[in-house]
Amino acid sequence: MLCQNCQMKDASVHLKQIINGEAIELHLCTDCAAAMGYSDMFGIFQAPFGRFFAAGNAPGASETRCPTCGFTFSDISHSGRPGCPDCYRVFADKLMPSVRKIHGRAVHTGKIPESAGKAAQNERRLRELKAQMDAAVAAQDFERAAFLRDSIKEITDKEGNG
Amino acid sequence: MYLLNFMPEYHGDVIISSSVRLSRNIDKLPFPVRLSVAERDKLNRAVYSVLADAGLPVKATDMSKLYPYEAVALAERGVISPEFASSSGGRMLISSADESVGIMLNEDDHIKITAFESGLQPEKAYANAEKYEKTLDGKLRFAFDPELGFLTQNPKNLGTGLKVTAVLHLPALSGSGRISSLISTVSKLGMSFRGAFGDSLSVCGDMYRISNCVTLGIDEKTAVSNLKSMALQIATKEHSCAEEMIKDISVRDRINRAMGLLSTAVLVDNDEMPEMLSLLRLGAVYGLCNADVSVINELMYTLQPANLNCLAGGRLSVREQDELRAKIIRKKLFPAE
Repeated sequence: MLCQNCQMKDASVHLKQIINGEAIELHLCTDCAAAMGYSDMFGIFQAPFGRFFAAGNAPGASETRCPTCGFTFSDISHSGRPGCPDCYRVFADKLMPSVRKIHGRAVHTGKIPESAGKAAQNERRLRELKAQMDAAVAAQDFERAAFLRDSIKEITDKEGNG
Repeated sequence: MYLLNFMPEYHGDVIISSSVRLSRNIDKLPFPVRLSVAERDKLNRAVYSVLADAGLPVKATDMSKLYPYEAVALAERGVISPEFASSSGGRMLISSADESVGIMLNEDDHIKITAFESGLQPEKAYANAEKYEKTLDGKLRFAFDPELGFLTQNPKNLGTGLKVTAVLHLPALSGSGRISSLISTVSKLGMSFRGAFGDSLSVCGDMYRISNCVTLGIDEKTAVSNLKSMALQIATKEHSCAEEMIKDISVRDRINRAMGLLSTAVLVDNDEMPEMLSLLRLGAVYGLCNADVSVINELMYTLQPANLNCLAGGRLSVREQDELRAKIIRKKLFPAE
């Protein structure tokens, strides 16, 4: 089995973690395991979240800084936590794999704050309509799919004009 | 101290309290760990002004003005987290007079609103917390992403940023040894189930805390309803297990011994107190002894060391704490003796 981080060397470190009741298996080569802090048992318990973020921090990672808090991705992987809410947007490509490890592929379905404005409401509505349209296409209910497509277009046109 | 009234209509025989905690952050502002004390103070003042101007009955406590034992006492009563009590610079607690609502400012997130209710009433606690949240939402811009929900410093809280908790008294399930398999089952369902006091690994007085772990991909109403349903199932199991348990003469003997000890002892230490109160509570709930369950609920929290220091107005030695603890138990639970 190849190391699931570098995909180059043989995996010789096999770890199992339970997160939110879900077992997650990691198969790593010794170098990647050491780089991710799994070289000693206590490392796992000391900063589990930092290690999670570090997993995406490949050598030569960009040193982009978050304009709001000045954090780099190295800072996040070192501390295990983002520096500000904007870090989630700035480092989305690197943070999302770790977020997915915790929450799976789930997206927010709870309340939308008033302060997030109409745009956030529309985005939720579009997401729901697109999911319904995909389901209608899969069920070969093309009449409903066309209706949903028109509803989506109506919202996006309004957004474009707004 | 927030209300811990014994409410049989809300499964108060088993469920002592319900609470919700909402984590919120201000958009375009670094998380508290990246803010200076002056910046945190500015945030504290802004949040307090919004709530006070809206006419909500709140009082502000500057954590840096408290003695360490006063901060720990708030954590012992569950109003703030132990982490919030451990460091004071630029932190503020905004609370209602009865402590049924506590808002921690500048813990790991900018704002954490906690609301408590007696018995199993998480919907009521959520409605109360939401009242404060909506007031703030009208004036401050919360950090929010349509896909990730409310953006929190700890990625585990992304989504609703909502933690729903119920505190349960489970002497029968605990005493019968059935608790471990229950903990294991509940943990697989995306919830945490652990001791209510102290560190997460130890259990005092058969008191447990069950909370949701899933915050993304689930709406608030479902999270509250799931927790309520799980707490109710556990309460039903505890109830049937307790009814069997109290038929055992040795259990009734232990309850009477606890009552004898608590009504006469002049020193009660901090390890003995929860164990004895747990037995007394079991007896009181099932009519085997005459003690006020609401008072027992309250004493479970207020007889802890830092709260005793607060009551005495200064640091007490362990012996002095044990003496005061015994005195309060005798006065509040056995006033006629």
